[in-house]
Amino acid sequence: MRTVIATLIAGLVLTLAGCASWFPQTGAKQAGSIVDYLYPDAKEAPQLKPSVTTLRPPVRVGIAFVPGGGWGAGLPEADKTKLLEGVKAAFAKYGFIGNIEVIPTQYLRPKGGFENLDQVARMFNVEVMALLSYDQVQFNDSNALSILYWTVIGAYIIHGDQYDIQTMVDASVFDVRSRKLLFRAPGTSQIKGSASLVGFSENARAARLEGYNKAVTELTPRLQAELDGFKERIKTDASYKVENKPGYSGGGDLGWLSVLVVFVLSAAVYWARRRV
Amino acid sequence: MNAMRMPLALAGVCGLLVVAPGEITAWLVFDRDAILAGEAWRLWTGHLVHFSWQHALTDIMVLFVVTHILMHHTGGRVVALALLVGAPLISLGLLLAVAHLQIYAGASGLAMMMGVAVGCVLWRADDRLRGVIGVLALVVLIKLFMDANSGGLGFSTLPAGVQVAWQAHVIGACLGWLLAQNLTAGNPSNIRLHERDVVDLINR
Repeated sequence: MRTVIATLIAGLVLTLAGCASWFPQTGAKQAGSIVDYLYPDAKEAPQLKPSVTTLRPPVRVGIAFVPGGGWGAGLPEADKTKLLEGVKAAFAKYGFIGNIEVIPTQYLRPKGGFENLDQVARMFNVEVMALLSYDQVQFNDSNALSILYWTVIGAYIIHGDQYDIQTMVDASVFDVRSRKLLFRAPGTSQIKGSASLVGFSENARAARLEGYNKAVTELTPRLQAELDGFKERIKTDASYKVENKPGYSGGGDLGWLSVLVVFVLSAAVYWARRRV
Repeated sequence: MNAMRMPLALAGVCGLLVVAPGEITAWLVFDRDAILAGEAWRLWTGHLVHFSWQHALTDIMVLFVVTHILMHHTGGRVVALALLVGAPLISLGLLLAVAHLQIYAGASGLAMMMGVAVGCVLWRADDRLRGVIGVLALVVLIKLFMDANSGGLGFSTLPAGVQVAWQAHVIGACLGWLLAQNLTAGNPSNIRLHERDVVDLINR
């Protein structure tokens, strides 16, 4: 009898240990750092020589996620492309931005530095690169309902596991030739939810994607605001110069002076006819 | 009121296109490559789209006033014909004479054409206006010279990086002068201002 009881206890302990091993206890982290990509193995702060950055509208822009490390190395490429297409659409309305190329992360080498960035810019014929770095942390916790996993069926229907996913996406826009950071903008999100033990992995994956979506949605208007600020800044900042490309010009613009001219003309006509 | 219809319609179309989605304006703007690829409608529609609302506002105001004045003296048919013929002529002029011009947008070429025509018509119609017209013509010439040589006088409404296409103004001015020659040919005294029309214009 003792042997039977001991066997049952041992079986139960092993089963529970098995359950515990299925359960994602700690969480996960996905990160792609702009510093790791552009300044790999840097011991000192990068030294930038003072120089004038020349921009020639319509500027050709590339957008890419920096290569990441860690578990899963970030989003699947298809989801990344979808997110970047959304950012691209938000910037299509600016006349001074020409082609916007969505660049797959595979073209960027981890720790590739500016040399890799130069190669990619040449390959895609872009002058400015918007690099999206990301940092996503997922915390997993059990709640009181998880005790019902013991019923086995509870593992399928009881939401005894919780996730808290915090995402930060940061867009840094670089002039490739001068290697100067033009402007940057962040976007953050927090997604909380719960799932059953069996559905946890799938739900958490969907939540991680939603976290990226929300962060990029928050980032886009901030990036537009930064771009508007940058447009104003370059008018007064001597370290920037805007030149027209050969083959590009612009608008038939009469300006406010011409408005004044036609109103003076109208007034003169009015005055002359009153004295007929 | 009839004389208001066409200027109002022109202003309305330009105003609507300012708030239209970028895909629509991209389909209408003067784009050298697209025109050479056969998209001929851009020769006309490029004059109706603008780079910004400030750009549109100044062009629309000038075009509205000068078109309105000219309509009182020539009638709507002549003005409509002048706009329909003038728009592609200005675009073709840019296409042929300004090889580096890739994109052009704005109604200023048309406004300049109508403005010069109005100036010439008024010059012949009323001697007392010649002084003012002469001074204003000088101002316009100085502005044109500055646009061509030093990037303008600082009154530009174009966004950063977009250059004033002063060549469109020169072509428009030449066409306006030709238009005025046709309008006043034979019997300049036919062109007369009507006080009621001008009062109507100012009041509106």
